[in-house]
Amino acid sequence: MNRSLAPEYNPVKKLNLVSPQNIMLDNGIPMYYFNAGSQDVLRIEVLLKAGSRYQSAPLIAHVVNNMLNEGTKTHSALQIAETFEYYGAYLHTECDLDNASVVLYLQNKHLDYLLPILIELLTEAIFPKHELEIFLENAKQKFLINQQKVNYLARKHFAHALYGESTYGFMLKEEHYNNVQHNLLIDFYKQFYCAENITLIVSGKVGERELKLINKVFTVITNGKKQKKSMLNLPEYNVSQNHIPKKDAIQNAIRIGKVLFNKTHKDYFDFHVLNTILGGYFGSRLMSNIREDKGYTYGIGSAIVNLEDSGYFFISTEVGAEVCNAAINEIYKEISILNNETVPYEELNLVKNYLAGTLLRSLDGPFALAEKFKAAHIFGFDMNYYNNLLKHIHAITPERIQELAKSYLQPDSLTEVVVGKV
Amino acid sequence: MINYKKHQLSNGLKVITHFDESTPIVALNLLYNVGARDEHPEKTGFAHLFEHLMFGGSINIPNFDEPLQQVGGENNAFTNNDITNYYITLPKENIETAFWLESDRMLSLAFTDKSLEVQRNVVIEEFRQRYLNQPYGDVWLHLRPLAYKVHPYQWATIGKEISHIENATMQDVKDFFFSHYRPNNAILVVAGNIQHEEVIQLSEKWFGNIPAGEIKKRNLPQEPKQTEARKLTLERDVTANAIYKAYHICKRTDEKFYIFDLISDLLSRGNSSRFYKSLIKEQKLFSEIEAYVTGDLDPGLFVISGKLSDGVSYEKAEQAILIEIHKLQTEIITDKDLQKLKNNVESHHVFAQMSVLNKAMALAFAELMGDIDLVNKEVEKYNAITSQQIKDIANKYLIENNCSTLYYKKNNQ
Repeated sequence: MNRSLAPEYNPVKKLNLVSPQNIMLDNGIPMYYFNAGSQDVLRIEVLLKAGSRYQSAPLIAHVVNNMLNEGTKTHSALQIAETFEYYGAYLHTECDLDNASVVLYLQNKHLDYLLPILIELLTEAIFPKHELEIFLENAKQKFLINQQKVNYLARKHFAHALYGESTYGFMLKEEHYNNVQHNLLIDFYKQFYCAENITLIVSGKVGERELKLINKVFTVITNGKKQKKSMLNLPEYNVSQNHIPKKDAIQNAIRIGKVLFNKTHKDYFDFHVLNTILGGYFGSRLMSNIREDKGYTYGIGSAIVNLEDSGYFFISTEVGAEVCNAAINEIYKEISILNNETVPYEELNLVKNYLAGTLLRSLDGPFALAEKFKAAHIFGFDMNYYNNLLKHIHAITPERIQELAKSYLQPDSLTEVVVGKV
Repeated sequence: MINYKKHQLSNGLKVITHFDESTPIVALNLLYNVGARDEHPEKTGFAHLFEHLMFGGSINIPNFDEPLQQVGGENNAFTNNDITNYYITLPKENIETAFWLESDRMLSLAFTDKSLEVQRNVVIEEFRQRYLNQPYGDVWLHLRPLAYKVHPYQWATIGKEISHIENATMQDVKDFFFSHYRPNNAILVVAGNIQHEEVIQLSEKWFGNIPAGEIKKRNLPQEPKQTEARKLTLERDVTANAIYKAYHICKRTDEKFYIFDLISDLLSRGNSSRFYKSLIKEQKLFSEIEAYVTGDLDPGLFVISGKLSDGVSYEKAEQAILIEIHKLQTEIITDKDLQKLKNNVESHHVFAQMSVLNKAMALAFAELMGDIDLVNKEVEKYNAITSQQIKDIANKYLIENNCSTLYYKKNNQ
């Protein structure tokens, strides 16, 4: 047996994609569902157009989303928690710049007991004032702890450098936690937590019984007013260099990147491949050079962030303060190489196979399907989006990669943020 | 129910399979029975540094990651005080690549100076990033030696100090490899849409001719019983005071472990838990507080850690924790509360079985614990717990003389 020879392998050329069923509930809420998986479990996601872009003052969207389970007209925070926890269910809420979401994970056998509570959170939350006080006080403490982390600071300052005072760049301050007005929470909740703003994404064992029950229970959510979404007023992108001092930092956090585009852009798929080569996987050029060759860092990576009205590209790492400049030089060196040379065929081939495998792995299981669907749906795509992605991955050439680097990754188009000993 | 089949190769490697036809992905998990507890007290952090070196090329394959990425796979590893665990997920058609890679680095590493030098630096940066440059990052570097005076659990996986990593030599690396990374000290689990027979055949082909090694019987100094309360105060540049209380408990394999685990759930799992309800919501003493068990193979710890709300004194905060413990010791938990905890265990178990990788890891660890069937029996063990047992255990173990308390104070800068 010759151990230096790799076994035969098959690249992933095709995805066995499952598309969700699509129905409309009696009150007009669109529901997408994946009836898949072998366990008797469900993931019910209530996706809402209720992210912080819609709020009238800082923190409002986030607080409303996080405090849905802190009290309703008929149940206290404790009673709500008791019910979910008695049935071993997990409630997860999240709120980003564009969307909010409430996700319930449960076993099918408890659906009858848990659905009414979920609906109550969406229709009868009251955000009790004493709970609000505790919530804000504790959230403020977490915020202050985060302010001590170089990586957190770099993330915030970087978004601000790209998007200024707009929603996408807004920087929270301690005093915002002292000024959350209860009436603004109520207004936001009434306005945005209504049938027109909801999309339901359900996955797991979704049979006749589950469908009937969901339709029946969700129908009590009343219509509000359809929100008209207008494009955000984002500032023009300007390159900048930002050095944020943090005393006693042992490592500096570095972020380098720029405003780019989101997945609706024609070059998105191809840029995704370029990004992977540069910093999107363990064997990426940045990791190979800055971690595996120089040993400057525990980790370095790059990514594209998708926002509904924009998108940005960034590289991020934490490095010893004494090698910070050397690391930044190496980052630019790698970007220049992508501008000036084509990617070797073997490397590109490896990245293609890696990305195809990653795609296959990310679509495994009913809950994963639901999350992938959501990520496409928010931008107006269906599951076929992933077939297109795979096609682009397999079709891309070294020349195309270089062309993209030249258009989008000119070294002097990048904004820099360094937090630490600067 | 996690189905499984077991087999052992003649060189001692244990091979376990789990069949799940619902997924195009196969998981391969390789557990080595070596962790930070097996390190020399003057060469700590070594098991973890070694984990990094396992990616630096093996005897016949210069790079571990590239060929795996080439076939659409992904991998990672972790080290803790008890074990070092490597795992791969990849499209099932390409499973043989995983066997090829894992077997070659079990056969022997490349042992290059470059790899050792770079990974020393990477691990030092990891030490700085995770332990020194984070608020509260160094807690366990101090809490461990407070709680353990004799047992190797007194150091963290990353090591006692950076100099131990700096001083690691190639000879240390080789010695470590050949005394621990042998087939008779490992458990291989393959989970996914692949038949047991095929896995055995691949295991024989790739691992079968790796010679067994001489594995020294583990003989660790056991921690003597703690007889008086231990306290330590640290001052740091943080924005909130924090408290950590660590009580000595039993081994992970002891029947009592499940009771401690359930008590930690009772105290802090979810918004209806006792700590959340009383200490965060009613008394507003903490902004966050949790209780958990370390689950170590030698006697571990029951830990309470909390961040004090602004303006709350340590005396008041700690007193409130002790009152909750006193309640555990004197009152009987209601049937409904007990049932809630058990329902949660069941639910957690069901959700944890949704990925082949999770199942593969669970099987490997259960086998290491000496009874692979634990993956299916543990829910029953939790279900059998009575409220009287909870009370008894709390009385015996959750006492100050058995506790190390760390006050992590904000300094007045």
